[in-house]
Amino acid sequence: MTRQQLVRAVLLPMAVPVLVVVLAWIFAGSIDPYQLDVATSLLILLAAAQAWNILAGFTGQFSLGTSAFIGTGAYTTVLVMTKWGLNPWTALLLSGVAGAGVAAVLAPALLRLRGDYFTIGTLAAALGVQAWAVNFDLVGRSSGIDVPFDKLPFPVDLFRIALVVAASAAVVSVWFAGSRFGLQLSAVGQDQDAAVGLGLNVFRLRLVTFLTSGFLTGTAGAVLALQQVHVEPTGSLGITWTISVVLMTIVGGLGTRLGPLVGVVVIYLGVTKQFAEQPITGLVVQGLMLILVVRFAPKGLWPLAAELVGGRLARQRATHDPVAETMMTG
Amino acid sequence: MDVVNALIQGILIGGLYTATGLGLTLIFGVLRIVNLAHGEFVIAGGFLSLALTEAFGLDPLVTLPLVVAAGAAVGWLLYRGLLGPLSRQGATQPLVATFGLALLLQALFAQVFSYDAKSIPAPYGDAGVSLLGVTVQAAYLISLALAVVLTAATWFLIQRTRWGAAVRAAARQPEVAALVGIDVRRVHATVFALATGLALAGGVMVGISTSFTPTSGAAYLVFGFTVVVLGGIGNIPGTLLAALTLGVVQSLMSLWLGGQYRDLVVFVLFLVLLAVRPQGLFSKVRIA
Repeated sequence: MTRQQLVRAVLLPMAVPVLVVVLAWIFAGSIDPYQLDVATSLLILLAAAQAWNILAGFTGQFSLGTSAFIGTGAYTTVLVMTKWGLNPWTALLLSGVAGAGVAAVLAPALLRLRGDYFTIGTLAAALGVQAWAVNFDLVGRSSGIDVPFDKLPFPVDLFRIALVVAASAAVVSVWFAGSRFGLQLSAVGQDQDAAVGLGLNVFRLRLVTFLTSGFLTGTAGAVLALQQVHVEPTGSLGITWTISVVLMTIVGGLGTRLGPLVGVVVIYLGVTKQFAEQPITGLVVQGLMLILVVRFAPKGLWPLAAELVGGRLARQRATHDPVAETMMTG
Repeated sequence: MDVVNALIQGILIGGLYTATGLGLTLIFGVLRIVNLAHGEFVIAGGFLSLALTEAFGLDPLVTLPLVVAAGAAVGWLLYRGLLGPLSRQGATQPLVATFGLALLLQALFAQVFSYDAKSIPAPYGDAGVSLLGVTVQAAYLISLALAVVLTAATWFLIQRTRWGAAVRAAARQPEVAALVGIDVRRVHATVFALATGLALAGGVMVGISTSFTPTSGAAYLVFGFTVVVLGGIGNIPGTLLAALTLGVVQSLMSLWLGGQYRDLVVFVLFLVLLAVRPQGLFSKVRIA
């Protein structure tokens, strides 16, 4: 990969989330608390969806363990803030480490086998962590534990934390999607045997993505704890998190850089908020959407939209400049 | 005495996991797809039998053939209409579709039956039977007997019938099977139908022996998969042995660690199994 390619595929796209963070950071003070809260929720989901996309989209490791990592992050934040009196930023970092730690513990079981085992294994891990939390005094059993009230960040600061978490996930996504390392990951995702044939260390590549995804999802869980204050097994470790993240990424566009963003916004505003009062109807809508999208628009909304717009642009340009078309598609 | 008691209870619990495991091992071994709705299929069997029992005053065991037939029919339609076409596109598509299906079924159960725990009323539900000096629930004993019968029937279908030969051929070499005139898609649809029927049968057994809720499916999916891996994929007698082993492990661990860990034990066991012996206990074939 030449330097020019690296700049175009990785460094320029990385600048976008960084710029957004800087702008949003500055203007956060002038947004009203309700909007900040909605934005924070969106950013938590965006971070988790991107972390899932790195696993499922880039390397074909379809995880059902998101809730385990969100929960681990959330519990870690509460525990280190209560027991050691740490500040939110340090707690955030440790939540990421805890998330990666869970991934590291699971790795020997999940990464030596093919993707199918990974899927069920992550589900077993998610159910296991939840069953553990329900029975353990350290984490308050089924009643859960709270973030100490005097250490809670203000909504503006919480929003800024969430911003950094989501942007970090975006930067990692861009790096994984565009770099030489990202190409290796994509080889693993498309055909594991061929990737082995190319001399790639498949286990190592899968491990790096799993740890990274675990870290990022853990930090998303930390933000969740700071936002919700109260952390308990049903809310923070519930399969709902996994459903949301899978649905959002699939609807937006699995394996694309912008798919999670599109999916999070569309699903959160269009489904999650609309059906908050009717959970059963919401479940029906979510289930139907998964089936319909995978049946009729398997690439998801973002690639579909990009194709429509890109196709039109390419056709317009093609009348003047045949080279442009090959660049658009190439 | 406690250990003997736990052993016997464990074997009986294992009977509940057998039908679930049989269906999954067929789907995973022959169709190579992971059916994330399999746990919900199990629970569907419980709810369907409950509905028939309540509506017509039938004995749950009388509803069993109806439930299995309904499950097989729906399974066949699902495979023909949705999962078959999707599985030819890639591995992720059927996974996502079955995940969506699982959510739809959960919503359906919750809408019709609420989130409360249910069990199927049966005269033998709480009746005690003395077995080697241990009193056990008659329903568990019936479930175990059914598990053995279903395992034998499935083994016979796969190993001793013409259809079974086509299934085995389609599982090993789909392209070659197609070349010698086997309609592989049809074989796959029938396997999925059989597996769905078995899952629903498992649900009836769960329903008469213990309780279930609309969200119990995920745990049964993992229990089923543990049985599949433990028994060796596609190994039908191995599935029965694995289910009984799992029941015994669960029962002994509950005895030593406390009943609240009975599910956690299975989840941990599954992960340890994947790390240490993914080819299962009763198989020399490596699957990784």
